[in-house]
Amino acid sequence: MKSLYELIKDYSSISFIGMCKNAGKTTTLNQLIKELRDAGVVFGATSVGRDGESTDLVTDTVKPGIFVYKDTVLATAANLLKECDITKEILKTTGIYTPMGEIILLRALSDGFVQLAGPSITTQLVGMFEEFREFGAEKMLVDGALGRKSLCSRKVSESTILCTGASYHKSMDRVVADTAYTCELLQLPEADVHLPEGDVSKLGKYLPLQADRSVEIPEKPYKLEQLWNPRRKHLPTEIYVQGGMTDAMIRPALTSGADFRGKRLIFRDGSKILLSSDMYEKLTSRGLSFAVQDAIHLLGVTINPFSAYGFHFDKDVFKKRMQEAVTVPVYNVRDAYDVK
Amino acid sequence: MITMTYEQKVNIGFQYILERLNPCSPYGQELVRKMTPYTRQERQKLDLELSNLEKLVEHWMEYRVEVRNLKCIFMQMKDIRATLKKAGEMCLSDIELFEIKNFLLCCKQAQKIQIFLKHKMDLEGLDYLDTTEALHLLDPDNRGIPTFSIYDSYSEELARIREEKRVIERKLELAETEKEQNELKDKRRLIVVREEEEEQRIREQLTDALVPYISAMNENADVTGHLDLLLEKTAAAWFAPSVKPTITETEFTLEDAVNPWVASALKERRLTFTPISIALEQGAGVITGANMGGKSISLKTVALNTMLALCGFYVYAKEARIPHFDNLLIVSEEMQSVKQGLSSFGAEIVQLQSVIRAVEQEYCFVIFDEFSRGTNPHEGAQLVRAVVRFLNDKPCMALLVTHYDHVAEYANIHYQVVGLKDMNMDQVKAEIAASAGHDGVSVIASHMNYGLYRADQMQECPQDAFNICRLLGLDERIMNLLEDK
Repeated sequence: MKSLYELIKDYSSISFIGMCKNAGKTTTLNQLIKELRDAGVVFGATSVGRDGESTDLVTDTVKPGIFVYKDTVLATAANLLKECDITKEILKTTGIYTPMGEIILLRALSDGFVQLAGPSITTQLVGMFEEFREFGAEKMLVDGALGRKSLCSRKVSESTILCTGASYHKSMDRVVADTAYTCELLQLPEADVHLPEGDVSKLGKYLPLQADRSVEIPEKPYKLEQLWNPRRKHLPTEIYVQGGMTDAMIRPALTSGADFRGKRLIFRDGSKILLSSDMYEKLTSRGLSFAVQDAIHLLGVTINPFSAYGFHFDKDVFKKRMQEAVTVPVYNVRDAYDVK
Repeated sequence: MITMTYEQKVNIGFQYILERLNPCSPYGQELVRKMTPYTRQERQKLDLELSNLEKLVEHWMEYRVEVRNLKCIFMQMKDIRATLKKAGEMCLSDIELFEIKNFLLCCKQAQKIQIFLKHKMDLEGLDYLDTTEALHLLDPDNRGIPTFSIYDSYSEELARIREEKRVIERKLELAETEKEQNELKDKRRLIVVREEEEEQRIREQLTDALVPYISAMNENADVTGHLDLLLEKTAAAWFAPSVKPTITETEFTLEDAVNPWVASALKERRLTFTPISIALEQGAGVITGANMGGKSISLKTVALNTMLALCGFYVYAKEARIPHFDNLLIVSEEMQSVKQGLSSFGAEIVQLQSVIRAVEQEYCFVIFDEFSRGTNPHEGAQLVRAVVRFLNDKPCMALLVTHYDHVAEYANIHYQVVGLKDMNMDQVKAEIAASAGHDGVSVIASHMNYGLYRADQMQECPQDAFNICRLLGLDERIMNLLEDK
């Protein structure tokens, strides 16, 4: 099987997101960091919000810290510097402030464990890669946080790895199904939408798309069931949805007998689709499709068969079933790498 | 001491000038934010500032590349004064040491340009203090790069510990079993603790060693701010035609003065600012004039340029001779007092009280914008006359605009807005007719002469109000009643 490095080597920035706590994200990162070192690649690492605590703040289980090698460039909050046991060289203060102090760029002059807490605003992360490059980093790794899937958009990082594991749920069926669903959402095709300049939030939640990819500006905000009412003459085929969408929001359209065949909903990014996987399936089987403005490039899924809550999956079965359910390569980080 | 409220700064157009300055360093930004005029005790400093400014304005184009480079350095500077204060009390962190090092490097670069400019333009003062020694403390290997680390060269012990750490890390990498790994990790942890202890000892040593340079660094922060501001004052000299003011004892003259704030507002309406010339003497001067004649604008222009001169700026005029006042007081209907529940008239009287106190203690320049306009004309006029007579005997300068009669005859100097005096009535009427009555106000404005001329003390206020009514086509029935008396 290909190594993680093989998977990411053509991309300059990679973000890591977890389905849940203890999904094995740090293990994945550490493995990749080791492979990058062996390949002689200097990289920069940061995190969305805080990550890399040595004890899990939620479940109180011992978590592996992120272990970096000499010459790695890091962006982390000032208050966490004392938690990093590398020998440090301070490179730059960024002027970006977080609750844990200003984000500082530093270089590791020795190997060691680090705690990362980077900016939590997309625009600040975008600038971060330039900063890393300035200090010789060729790649950027972004440790994503729970529920920050939107921060994996291609504006921030070119590619993404999704981490999942037994900690997500006791039932393997559920872990596989939900991970597969998340993968599906993360891999939605990209669609072009030209939004008017300025504040578009007042235009309403549902904006029908016209032939030239611009949105129709409604006189008063549309309802979805109105737009796709079968009794209307011209039904728009594509609708841009502002913000998120839950089951409850689409149910009126479903019960009013809207015709979904050949229709498409377009979202800002995959994280805006908050539909349950049942509902998603129901809608797609009726002919509705989904697309996003900012597509994410999902490279692979890593699995951790060991749960922080004390139960474990059979690693081979787990991997086999996961691989059947998703279209991207699956890696077992606890089998192949961690136990020696 | 001159203290102006924000509202007053806005009102005379001083804030407009301040907002157009772009100081690059946090020190320069603070000076702009807290801009205060030079006091009479600081007279020498004011003279020095103006003479340096004159040289900079003169050579501005020649050295604009150096100036731009200097500003680029200023832009990289952070405010380290809080860190310096902390250094005197407790141990500094790596980040704080890093910031001090950056500051010292910036100062070193800035100093080179400053010395060059100073030499070329014969500037006085503005010298950076030598902090090479302090920089050497934070850059022991003389690398000159703006990053910082507790370097191995600080102590042999530290270098030894770090070598041990490296050896363990190499072993850790090659370790086969988890047990072996864990043993090595434990060993490494102990070394990390020793490394941290040694680093802390060095941090404390460095902090102590930096303490003797704190005052020099603070001084250099001040020099940076001062230079930064001076360069901005130079840029401000080009906002409008300007001149170096001569600071005098008691003589006050402004020739062809303008107010860039008012001028820019007029420009938006495609109108031009009429420069004003005025000379004042000790005691009260009075400006009278027609409605719509721009009396208040002339006050704003005088106040702004006086303020600029006392802050060490160039003055927007052809010539300016301005006394070094202790205080500049503006009495006007202020919204703030009205909001506080005082009537506008009440607020003016409260302000007058403090003016009276001030003129008896300091050398003041007092400006009244249509004082007591809010009360009845009979008593209001009497009040203004009394104030003029009172101020005439005081060692101060005062300037009042009013449209009350018989005020000027008590004043030392009387200026009048030219207004509609020389206007060709028929032509204006024709123009207003041509605009179909829509634009009467701007037609009149375009014919209004906003200039000031020195009038006879006994000359009465021009009675233009009825003329303007007529021109603007006020209802005939009212006009008839007016003429009926």
